[in-house]
Amino acid sequence: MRYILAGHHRLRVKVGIAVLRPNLYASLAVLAVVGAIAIGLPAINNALPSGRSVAAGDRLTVGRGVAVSAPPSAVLDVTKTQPALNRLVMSVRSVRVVVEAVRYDGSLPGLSDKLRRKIQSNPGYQASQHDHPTRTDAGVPGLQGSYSTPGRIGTYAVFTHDGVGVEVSMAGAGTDVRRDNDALLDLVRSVRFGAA
Amino acid sequence: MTSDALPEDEAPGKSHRRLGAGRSTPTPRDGRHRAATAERPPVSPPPAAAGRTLSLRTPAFWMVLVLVGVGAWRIGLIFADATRLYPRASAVAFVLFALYAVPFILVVREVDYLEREPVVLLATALAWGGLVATAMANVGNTAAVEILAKEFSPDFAARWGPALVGPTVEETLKSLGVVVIVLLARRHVNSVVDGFVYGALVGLGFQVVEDFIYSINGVVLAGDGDSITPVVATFLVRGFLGGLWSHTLFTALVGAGVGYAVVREERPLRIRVGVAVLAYLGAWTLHFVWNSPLLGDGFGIGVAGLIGALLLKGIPGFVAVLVMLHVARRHEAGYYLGRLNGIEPILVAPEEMDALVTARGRTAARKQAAAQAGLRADHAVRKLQRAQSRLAVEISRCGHASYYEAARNPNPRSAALERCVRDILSARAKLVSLGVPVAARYGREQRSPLGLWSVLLAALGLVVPGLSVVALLLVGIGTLRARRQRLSPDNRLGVATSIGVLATALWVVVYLLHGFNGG
Repeated sequence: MRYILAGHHRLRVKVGIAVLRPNLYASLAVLAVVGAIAIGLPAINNALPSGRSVAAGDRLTVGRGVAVSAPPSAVLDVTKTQPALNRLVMSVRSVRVVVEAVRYDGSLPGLSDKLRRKIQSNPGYQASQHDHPTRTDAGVPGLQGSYSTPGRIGTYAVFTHDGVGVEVSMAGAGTDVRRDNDALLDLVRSVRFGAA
Repeated sequence: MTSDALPEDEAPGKSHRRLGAGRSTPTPRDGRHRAATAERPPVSPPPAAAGRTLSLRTPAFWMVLVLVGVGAWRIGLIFADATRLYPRASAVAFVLFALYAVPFILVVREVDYLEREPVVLLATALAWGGLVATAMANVGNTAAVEILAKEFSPDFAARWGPALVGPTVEETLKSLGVVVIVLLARRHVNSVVDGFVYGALVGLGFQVVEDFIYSINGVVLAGDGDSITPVVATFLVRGFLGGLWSHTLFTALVGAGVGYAVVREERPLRIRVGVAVLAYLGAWTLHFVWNSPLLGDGFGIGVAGLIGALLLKGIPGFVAVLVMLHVARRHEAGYYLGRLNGIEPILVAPEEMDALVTARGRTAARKQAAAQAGLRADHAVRKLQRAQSRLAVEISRCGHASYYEAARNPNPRSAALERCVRDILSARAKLVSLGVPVAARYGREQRSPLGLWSVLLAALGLVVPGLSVVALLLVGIGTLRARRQRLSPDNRLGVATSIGVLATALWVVVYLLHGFNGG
């Protein structure tokens, strides 16, 4: 009798496994697809380089008719550069440069305040108390200031012309910022409005 | 064909319908039967002894539990960050989009009227869409768009990324939500309509959570602190201009395809899989068209052109899915209500069967009762209709073609059958005491020139502001007239209402956005 019961039990287990096996395989297939999207795609993305070297002096389009000239050793970050948001992101060694064109009808100090607020909304970021006048190569007036982040120092600048505002911010290791200071300031001054 | 076009002896209420008789799959209305070619009905009700909805022994249960947990953690982090940095904007976005989900849920529940799906499965579908699909799509979309930017250019990724990546990643993840429901409880996916319902809820969960995230992204990009303006703008754009033909619709289409593949077991596997794949491709295409930059300039003619482009991108798919749903629902109604053939009129009168088929019919019957005997009659009709629908489903669960067969042969659902009958008799007694013995809808349908004019004006209202409001006024006048004459309102008034409300909402949104953008 005991043998018969044991046989029944084994049969039930076998039937249970046979019934659940397709469910298990299908569940693993679902898990595989989810994993391919959530883990596989980022892995492929990470394996591909995100930087694209640009030659010094190349004109880079930001959006809203704004363009800048690439400094020496610039590497365009193609993943963070978003033409739809009129944003250009590049690196010059450890210095990360972000140039953004926005629709703006207000005053230059107002745009500067806005960018300072944006910078200071990041934890640990601190902008300087005052900014000073600057000017693009084409003669458009602007304001420039400095800021610091944990372990890095940075510069920001704003320009406005014809209903378009340009915000430039760049930050990196102190040694790199000091070494490339002239090239970075040239980049700021290279901002051009109404570029076709 | 309207009922007043029928011969007198065939008009609703004059003869006893034979629904679902034999092997055919008739449409439920009198005089509109259509023989079906299928060997099996398009519905497969769960067996009489259904057991628990979810089983802890299925591997799918544990997989879903883990993935929902991971999704909840990731989405929770986004919510927590948003709430910490922008408490006011987050609260407004949360409330707005939570309220936004309510009408969608009500519509889905109305679609799911006859054979209600278990709440736990509906909640699972919603959770998959809102937690798993959004969390994974968030990661997958970013990676895929960046891959496009690296392999092609940032411009290409910005222009075509949303159109190529969005449908591929998101539709795949959402479709898995319906597949998961099948893995969890295949016996509860009994018809194409069930697949549609589960798919719609997966899509709704995704849509609501994604819209919340978009709102907060808008706040961040505006760089204006804890402002609610970007939230309201996102709500108007994503909720109204693109809300109707969005994720809920796309995934409902995929769900219907999966439902077909699961239910129509008599068809060859390649056909069933083919239909599911076609449904997926249909959803992918609708999503692609919606996200694509094509017609982004609105034909270059300003706001009216932009509205026209949005409608051109959204409405064809919306209408196609609604037509498909209509056909699927009629098949389902034909199957279930066919079980009520030949039943005693005290349980289900022929006129009531006619009203039970559609949401409009049920509502009309309730309104008719309310007009005669007040809100208590409305309530009693609601209970009666619910119990009659339950009875039809219970008969089908017993595996019998009619109530009498089911009642004669003892089976595990006998108690449930008796409960339905008791509920019907109780509601009937209440109605009789209120002087409304039969819960039928209005008699003949009104045909009036107002129907045609209101549809024309509502359609023109999509491109000319103000006309949709006039159309809605005509609809109101037409409905009032029909009620006074004790007739069903002209069908075209319903069509005009839908188009008119849509057109009015679109124009309101356009004006509000115009205001936001400084005129």
